[in-house]
Amino acid sequence: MTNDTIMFNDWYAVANARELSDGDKIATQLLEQDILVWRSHGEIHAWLDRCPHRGSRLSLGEIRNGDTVVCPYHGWHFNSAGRCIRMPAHPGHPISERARTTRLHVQEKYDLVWVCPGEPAGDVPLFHGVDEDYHLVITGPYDVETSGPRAVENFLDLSHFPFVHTGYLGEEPYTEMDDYDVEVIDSEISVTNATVYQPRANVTSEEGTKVAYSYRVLRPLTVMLTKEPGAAGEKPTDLILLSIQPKEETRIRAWFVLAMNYGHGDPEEYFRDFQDTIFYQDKAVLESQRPKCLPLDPTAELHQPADKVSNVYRRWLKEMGLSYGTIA
Amino acid sequence: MFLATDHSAQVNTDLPPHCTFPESDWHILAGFWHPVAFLHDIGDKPVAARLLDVNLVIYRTSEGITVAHDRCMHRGTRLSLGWMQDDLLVCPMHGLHYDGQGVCRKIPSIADPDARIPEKLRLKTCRTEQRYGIIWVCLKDNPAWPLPYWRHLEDSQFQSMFVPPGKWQVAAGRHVENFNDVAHFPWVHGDTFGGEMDAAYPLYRVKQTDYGLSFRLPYLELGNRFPDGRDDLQNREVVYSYELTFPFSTLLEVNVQESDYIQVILDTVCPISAHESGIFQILADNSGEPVLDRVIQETIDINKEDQPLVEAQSPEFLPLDLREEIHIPADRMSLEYRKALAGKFNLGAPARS
Repeated sequence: MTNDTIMFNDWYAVANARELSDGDKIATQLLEQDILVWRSHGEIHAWLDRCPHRGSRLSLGEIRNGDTVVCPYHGWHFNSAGRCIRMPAHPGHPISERARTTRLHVQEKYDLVWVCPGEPAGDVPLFHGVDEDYHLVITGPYDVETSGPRAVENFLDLSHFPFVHTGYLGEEPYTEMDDYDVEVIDSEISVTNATVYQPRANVTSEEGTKVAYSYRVLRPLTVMLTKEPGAAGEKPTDLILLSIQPKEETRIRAWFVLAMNYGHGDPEEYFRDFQDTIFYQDKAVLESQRPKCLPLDPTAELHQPADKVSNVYRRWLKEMGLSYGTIA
Repeated sequence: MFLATDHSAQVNTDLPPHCTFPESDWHILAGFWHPVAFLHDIGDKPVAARLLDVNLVIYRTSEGITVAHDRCMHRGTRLSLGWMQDDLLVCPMHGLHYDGQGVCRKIPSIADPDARIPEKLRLKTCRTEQRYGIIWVCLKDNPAWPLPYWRHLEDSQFQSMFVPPGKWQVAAGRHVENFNDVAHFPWVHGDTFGGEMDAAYPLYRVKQTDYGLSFRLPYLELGNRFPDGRDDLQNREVVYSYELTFPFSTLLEVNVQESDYIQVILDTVCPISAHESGIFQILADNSGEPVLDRVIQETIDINKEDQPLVEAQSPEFLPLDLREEIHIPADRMSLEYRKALAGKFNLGAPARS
């Protein structure tokens, strides 16, 4: 658990909703709490993964009849509202009002399951610009031994492409970075007018091209990216949403939603393989960074002009008062 | 990196470095006897053990078994990495030799065999008892509580066998509560002996004994796991009698009905740290034959069913504030146990600020 209320009252992707059928459950972790996510008659539930009786992990138990969670230890039955409806050792005994699980706010959006462990300060971040021309592919999750803010900053970083994603998102000698615009608008960070040369901008690319990048940092750990290889005025080809699930302060899980207006009907593995290649290149560098938490003091690390967005991101987090995953 | 030259500012405490227990709990628990090893596992080599975060070395000389802090007085080397020679424990680093009293008898780098060996070169030995084939240690000079009394192991009608020791990543109290809980049998032990999931749980009374708690409970086990020749019976009615000795030892006598067969499981826990427990179990029965390998294997299988669940319980430490978890009539034993740990021994006391 964390006492960082900004973190605690935000939404995080924790599961691929398409992989969670009726009667399925998964166990995961969010902000140091074990959580159980399960589906009953179409509806998704997220609870603390803990039986109120003796603290056992409910996720080790089973789901009966698609709508009842049975604790693995003494068989307490919980309905989808989290109430204990049966204590098998005492079938006739009245059941205490307190015998209920702790339920968390949960929503299904963009094929992901989103959970807020506290009281939501807002809605699930909006994935702007996705309409019926786009199809969605979930990639990941990717487990990384780093903090959420380090992972977000890496996603916002343009000048690492030639070195980390050589032959894909960049290559030498195309290393020089042009200036770009960064603004904070309506409590979001907006990056526009950034251009990078990419030998292989996405899985269908056949030749190198200049790609226009724009970012919207929607929440401390949620970012969307728009990639426009086409002429101005055309719809972007790729919209990418990144949501970081902070399992612990320096153990995160990254979820991507790719929205694409091409390749409809192509097998999803095709897109996933490309994204896996890119992300595993990032992961190695991310896990090597020290300190693992992001330093918010501008003097703590050195900066080059291309780091403009990272400076704004750090200042934005600092002004917001975010502490989890950062160093003041 | 370096320890200070002047120790006078430091508070003198017995607490081990990196102690995982609150200070007051450590001092209370250090006053009890705890099992650290089976006697038969100590041969001609020193063996390492750990109790309440204290590293120990166990070794055998002609004087018997010695348990000492696992630290050579010369340069702090782990003596359990050493060996035995001429009835002495040899430090692996500079070869200092220690006898069964922990007294240094030889410093090989000093040529003169008659040179006086400083008295301070004496291992910090621990109070030790050997009983029931187990080596018990009390880290304090005056044990606050006796060893458990396991009468079946002194009764010629019973033969006994050791279960291979286990290591669970749990707080000792969580294991003890699980061992003293019957209501989980249908859910956790369905593949071995657990009863009907729908069977109502009988009410029972917990008795205070001189050194612990006890209760009795009839039960219908599904299947027949007992080697008493009653292969005609599909399921077995039994009466379980539990006798707990504070803080972590339990005797479970299983009286199998329609038969004279009695099986006894003795369970005791070494609190290695606040997070880790060594499990020592002995099985005994009155079949008149040596305890069967099959019976031992069954106990191992039953432990394997419990271990992952108990390791996943949260919070990890046993809540001694009774309001922290919900209790049902089947939990009377767990309630009395928690009350005693807090009320009788003052475990779980709030930290002094």
